Amino acid sequence: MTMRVPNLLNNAQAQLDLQRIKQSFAQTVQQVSSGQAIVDIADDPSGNTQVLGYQADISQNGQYISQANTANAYLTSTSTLLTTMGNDLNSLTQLAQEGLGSGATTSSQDAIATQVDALRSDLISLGNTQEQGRYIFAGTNTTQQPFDPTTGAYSGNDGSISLAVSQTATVATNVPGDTLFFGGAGGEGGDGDLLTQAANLATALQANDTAGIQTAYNNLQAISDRVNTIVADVGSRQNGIQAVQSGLTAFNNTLTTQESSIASVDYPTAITQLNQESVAEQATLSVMSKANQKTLFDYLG
Amino acid sequence: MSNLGSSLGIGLSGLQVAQAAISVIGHNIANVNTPDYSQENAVLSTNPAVTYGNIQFGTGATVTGVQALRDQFLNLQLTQALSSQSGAQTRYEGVESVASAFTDDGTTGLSSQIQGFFSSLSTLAGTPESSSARQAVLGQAQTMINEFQSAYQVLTQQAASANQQVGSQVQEVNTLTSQIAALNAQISSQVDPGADNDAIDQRQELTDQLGQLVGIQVSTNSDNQYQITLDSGAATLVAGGTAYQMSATPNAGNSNDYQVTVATGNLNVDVTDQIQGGTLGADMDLRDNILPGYMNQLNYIAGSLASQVNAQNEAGYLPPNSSAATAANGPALFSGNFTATGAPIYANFINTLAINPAVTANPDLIATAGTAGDGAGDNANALLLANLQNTGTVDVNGDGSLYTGPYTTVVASLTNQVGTDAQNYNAIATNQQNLATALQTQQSSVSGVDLDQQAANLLSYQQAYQAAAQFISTISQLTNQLMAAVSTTTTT
Repeated sequence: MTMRVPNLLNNAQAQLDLQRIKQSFAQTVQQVSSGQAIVDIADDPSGNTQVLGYQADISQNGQYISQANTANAYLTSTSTLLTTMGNDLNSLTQLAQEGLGSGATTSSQDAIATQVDALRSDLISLGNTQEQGRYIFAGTNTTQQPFDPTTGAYSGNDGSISLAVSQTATVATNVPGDTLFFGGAGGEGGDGDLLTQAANLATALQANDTAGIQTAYNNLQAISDRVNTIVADVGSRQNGIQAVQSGLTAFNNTLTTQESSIASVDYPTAITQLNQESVAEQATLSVMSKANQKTLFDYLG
Repeated sequence: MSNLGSSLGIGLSGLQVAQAAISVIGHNIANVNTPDYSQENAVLSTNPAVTYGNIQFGTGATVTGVQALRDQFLNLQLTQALSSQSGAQTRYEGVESVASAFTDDGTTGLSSQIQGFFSSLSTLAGTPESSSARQAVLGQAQTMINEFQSAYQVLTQQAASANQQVGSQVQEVNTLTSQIAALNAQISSQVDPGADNDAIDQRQELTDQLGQLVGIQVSTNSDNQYQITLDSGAATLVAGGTAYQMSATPNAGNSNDYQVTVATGNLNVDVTDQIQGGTLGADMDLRDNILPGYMNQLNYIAGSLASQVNAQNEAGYLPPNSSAATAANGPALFSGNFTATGAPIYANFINTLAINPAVTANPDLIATAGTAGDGAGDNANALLLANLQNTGTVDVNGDGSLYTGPYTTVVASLTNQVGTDAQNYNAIATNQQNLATALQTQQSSVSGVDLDQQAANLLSYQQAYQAAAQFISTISQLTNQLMAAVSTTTTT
């Protein structure tokens, strides 16, 4: 049996199809012009969720990278200062040795004492160094000058400052002044106090007190060992940060590639699709214009 | 015995039949593009014979009726399909129009702004002494609040516009049901109920329109009248010649949302949310279920985030340079209506969300320190604040029990829900559109007017008319000849 094809709706299906082709065409055009594969979240809800996840991860890794940069900047200045400090300590022990030497005279020892005093002042100003407006050897008391310029009295604390360089890892970005100069809380004024020992050395030199010079010398040697340990510790922290940084940067590159594989339009595919849709639209229009042009009435009368 | 006079009657009946059939064809052609018009055919039959002696003589033809070609079942199926399609389409458009509030290109959008806020806290942890870093946290907090509020605003406006639609569509429903009831009365008042084809077609067209507004169930009674009830069966809209008025009244107890009732006799039946199909059902669904679902989720996210940030700031200690007592804990960073009881919790929270004005006035009130009375460099609490982006959780169903996190993941799953909903409704709308088109094609193949067929019929009735006219002319000639013969005989 044949199906009747009345006039009213014989183009309905074609019209519907044409509308859909045009809609799809417009969507592809938008994809190509925006470069985004997901123009509308309803196009690909799960892809969009993945993209949001990648974006959140990338942003968070970016935060960790920037924290690591900050931490690295602090530790680099600390490391430079520690090198200067090590040199000063070497000079101090050399001066102590000169003071102990057989050829030392009262006047030469006075001169040595003056040099020791100068080195002590250097060390105090080194302890008061600021990085981006914060005193880096003040513990957490970063807004106050930690060492009294004349007495060397410490007004900082032993607080450690950490930054997060990953979701689980933190790194200490500072060396508290008391750890560095006194060997920890309560060490101030004792054998491990660098500034006190330097002052003691100067006093002993001025008094030509060989035993005093010797004691100061021994203590300064121990302090030197301690500073070297701290230098090594800071160095290892920097290495750790650099490893984390390069890991995070590589990870972010991977995430960006993955995100873009979902979020960015694939031009060859999109343009091929655009062509197909264009052909389909033209073909439909051409067929619609040819179909049902004539009825029997045209041939009668 | 038949005579010339009765033959003239036969010829006349042929003329009348052809004329009637041609007029039916004319009516068909005139309605070739009328929606829901059913093609009509003239029903012809033979006149009763007359008997002379034992011989039966035919007396011509007559038109006994005009019959429309329609498939009632197909028509009702089509009404259903159109109703489902318009409902899904309206839901799709409603969800699709709020989808823009959830798009995120990595720099703007809710997820990005939440990230931005925590990123600023993370920067502050690097430099807790810096007043510009503190200011940046407040700036980012405000941007995040703005993003929450603008997304919420989009949802609120869409719900309000759905509510407006509810109000205006109720008027249209009443117009249609009154017209259908009037047509019902007209159809059943005929001697032969159901003979008024054009009224039936018109009623079908109005019923299709009604179905696109509200989901309906249609049945036909013995008088060929339509009985129309809501798709949920909650109320009757049309029974015979009576239309029951639907009315929409602002409900003061529910933010003046329209409450929809149907007046059945003395009884006012509340049919709010009792209509599934059609645009009215969809608009009520959008207003009462779909959009509030998204709004609640947004409130849960904002409420959880703000209260957890507040708790962390209150657990931390102020830096020494804040004007408050150094050993003090921080204040709440965010203010808002934190009603964490009742359901849903945090109702309308986003509209009340703001930065605590005390903190705006004094950014040092961001409690960066983890130890009471510690120096300005203590960033322990700032790190914990920043880490809320990993550890923070959202009460995703608003009942104080089911917590998941982190915040951006919950935002992403809400976005996914909006996208999936839009996709689903679009798929339903497309499927129903396909179904409706298929049914329309089928219906049209039964009832539609085919001009080729009408032309052929016209031709045959035209020829029949010409033949009948020729027949009458022949009878007339015969009569004339007879008359002439009679007069000749008389004169001779």
